[in-house]
Amino acid sequence: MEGPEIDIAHFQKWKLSKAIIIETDMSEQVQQEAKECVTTGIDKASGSRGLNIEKACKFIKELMDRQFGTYWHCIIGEGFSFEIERQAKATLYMYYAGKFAILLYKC
Amino acid sequence: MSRPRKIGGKKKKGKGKANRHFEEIPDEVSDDKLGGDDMMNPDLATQKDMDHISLNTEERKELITKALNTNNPCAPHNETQYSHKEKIFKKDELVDQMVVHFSLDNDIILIDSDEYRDQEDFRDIKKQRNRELLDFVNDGIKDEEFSNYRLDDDPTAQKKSLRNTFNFQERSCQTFNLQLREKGIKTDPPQCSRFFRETTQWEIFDKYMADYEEQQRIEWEEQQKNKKKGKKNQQQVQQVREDPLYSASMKRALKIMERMIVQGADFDKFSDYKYYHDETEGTDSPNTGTVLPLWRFSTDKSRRKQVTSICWNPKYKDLFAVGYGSYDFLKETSGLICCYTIKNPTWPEYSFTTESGVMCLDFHKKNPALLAVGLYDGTVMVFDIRAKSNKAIYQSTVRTMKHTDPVWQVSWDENEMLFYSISSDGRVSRWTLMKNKLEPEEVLKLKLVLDQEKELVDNKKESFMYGLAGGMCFDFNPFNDDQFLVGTEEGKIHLCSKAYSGQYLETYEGHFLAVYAVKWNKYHPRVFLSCSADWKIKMWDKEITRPILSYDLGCAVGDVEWAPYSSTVFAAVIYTGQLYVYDLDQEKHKFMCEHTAMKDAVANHVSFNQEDPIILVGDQKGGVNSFILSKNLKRGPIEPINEEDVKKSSEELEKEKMEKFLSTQDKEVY
Repeated sequence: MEGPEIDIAHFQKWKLSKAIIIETDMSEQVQQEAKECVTTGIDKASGSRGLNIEKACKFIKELMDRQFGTYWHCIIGEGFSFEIERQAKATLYMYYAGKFAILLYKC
Repeated sequence: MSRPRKIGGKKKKGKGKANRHFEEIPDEVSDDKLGGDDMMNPDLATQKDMDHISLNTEERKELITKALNTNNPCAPHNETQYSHKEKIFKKDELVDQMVVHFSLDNDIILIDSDEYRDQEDFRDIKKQRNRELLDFVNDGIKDEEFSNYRLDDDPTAQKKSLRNTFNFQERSCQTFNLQLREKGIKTDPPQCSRFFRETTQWEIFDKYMADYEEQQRIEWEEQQKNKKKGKKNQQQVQQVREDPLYSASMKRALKIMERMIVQGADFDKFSDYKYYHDETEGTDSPNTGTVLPLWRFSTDKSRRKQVTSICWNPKYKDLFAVGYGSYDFLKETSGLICCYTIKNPTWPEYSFTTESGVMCLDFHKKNPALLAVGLYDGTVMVFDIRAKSNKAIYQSTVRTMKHTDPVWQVSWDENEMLFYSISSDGRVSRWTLMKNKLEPEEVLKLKLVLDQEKELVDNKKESFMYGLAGGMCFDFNPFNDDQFLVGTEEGKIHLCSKAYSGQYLETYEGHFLAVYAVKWNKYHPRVFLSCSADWKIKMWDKEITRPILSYDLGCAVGDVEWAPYSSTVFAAVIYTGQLYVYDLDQEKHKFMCEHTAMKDAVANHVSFNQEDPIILVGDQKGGVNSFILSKNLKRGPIEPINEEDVKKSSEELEKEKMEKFLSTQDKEVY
């Protein structure tokens, strides 16, 4: 059975606004909120010349601190590896805009 | 009473006091009408705008007199009251004209008045009380020092005594101290755990792609479902999506990658394979050549088996099939077919297992995916090497007259979908590929031909009871498709025809032991080679029943094959593992090249590649070694150079070469 065709252009556009959560151990609601934080943060910090990652990180971290308590850590990048020790129920790892990987955790 | 002043033509009764004051001003002041008005009556000045009546000059010149009197202008002219007694309103002209502007109460009291007396009494009482208090305090003083200072009637002193700071009693008490208890709690820190991950752009991309595809697929499925609501049998929901890691395109990509890696790793060998040039060869040694060993093709499964046949694929020049089985009657093994390619010498491309040992293979020339296989137990099978399963597409069974002895050779017909097989049970069969089965047809029964010189001649009647000769090999004439040669276990070679199954056209005698291979020359229609267990390679002319040339190799010859590029080059392998290459054009009596193809292994088969100068040699240990020929060995096909030769093709030139060779031979046959 033939599958659907994949339109590359459409895919490119579609993935820009899509966030995919890879791993998280937060509760559902918290997850959603955190995701919102991240997406707004990145959208805000995106300028004409691309994303100002520092600004986005700062924004996200501060927002999370205010909402959920102190000492969140936010890491945004395009290609990196990590090993962290994090509090239970306080991690979020997701991809956004087809390019960035965002790691959020509380320690 | 002076005439009330008209101001702006309006009677100002209810206006503020300020106006009235100005009204009482004597006339002298108000003579200067205009200027005076403005200065004295600033309010009026502003009010001109509101109710301004313009006076004509006459009116302006009019003098207005004013006079002060003691009448209260606010007071009414008369007071009228209703008298119930007389039942009329009574007018009272007398009105009180007094206006109190300011009044202030004071507190001067007359001495004689009652009020003053009350006040005095109150003061007395207060004094009395003070005195009593003082006496009380004085009594309390115990100190003799101070008792002298009895404060009598000294009001200032009395006052001071009340404020004596030393004069107090110390009185202390101990309250209960709250008991302090130490209590410590240690809270569990929030549970921490390790988390690690690696991010790369391709992972991200893959994830997005997967997500996207999932989404698209769901949408598409919805569409499909909507389309087919009416049908009862809905199409099966798509199976679990193929993991892209195992998809067909991935396999293909992996295959190419593997080949590239292998080619890169083995770069030397591959460059030899392409560009081998032996520098030692030159004009010094005109009649020798060398072979350079390249790869060895083998797998784990094949290690315990013997290579029984090798066949190149007619379409893909780098692909060849190797059949594994066993020549040992006692050690029968299962069979294996592996298709290797030179592009990846590490692992076979395709492999199939069979129940019984594989004895021979052949690829179909027109459908190069079809492989005919003959087995040790007499079965013949046809495989499609593209098939993923291990099963043959055709197989002969007992019911379909399969051979009862090992099938030694199979050979496809050029164009048709049929193939021939020869076996030790003395039959040559033709198998036709029908829709779902193999259709056998017996072409020839190999009758035993008795040697005239032997004693058996006497018992001619019994000759047919000897049964059939065992066929070992056969070969179709490339120029005359009808004729074919058959080599037997007894050592005789027969020329037969497809049309005539009763008798042989010709019998060639020369070998004493089993003939392992018979091969027609690819360019010359009459010449063929045969090799046998009696250590000899013999060359024959079709017309002559005795061999025209014979080579003794010192050990049983496993296989012989003509080179596809020349009419005079052929290779042979012997059971000690040596490979010999002959070029009759250059060196008549001796081999051009001798090479130890195997170390201590029986070499069973040899095969030339159609395009490249590669030779494959299969051995007893389940491996196939590949060799590349040096220049001297790969002469030909001859290109037409001279003017005369231009008209002829290279095949003809080759044929001529052979003819020339033949003519140089002694006419005496061996």
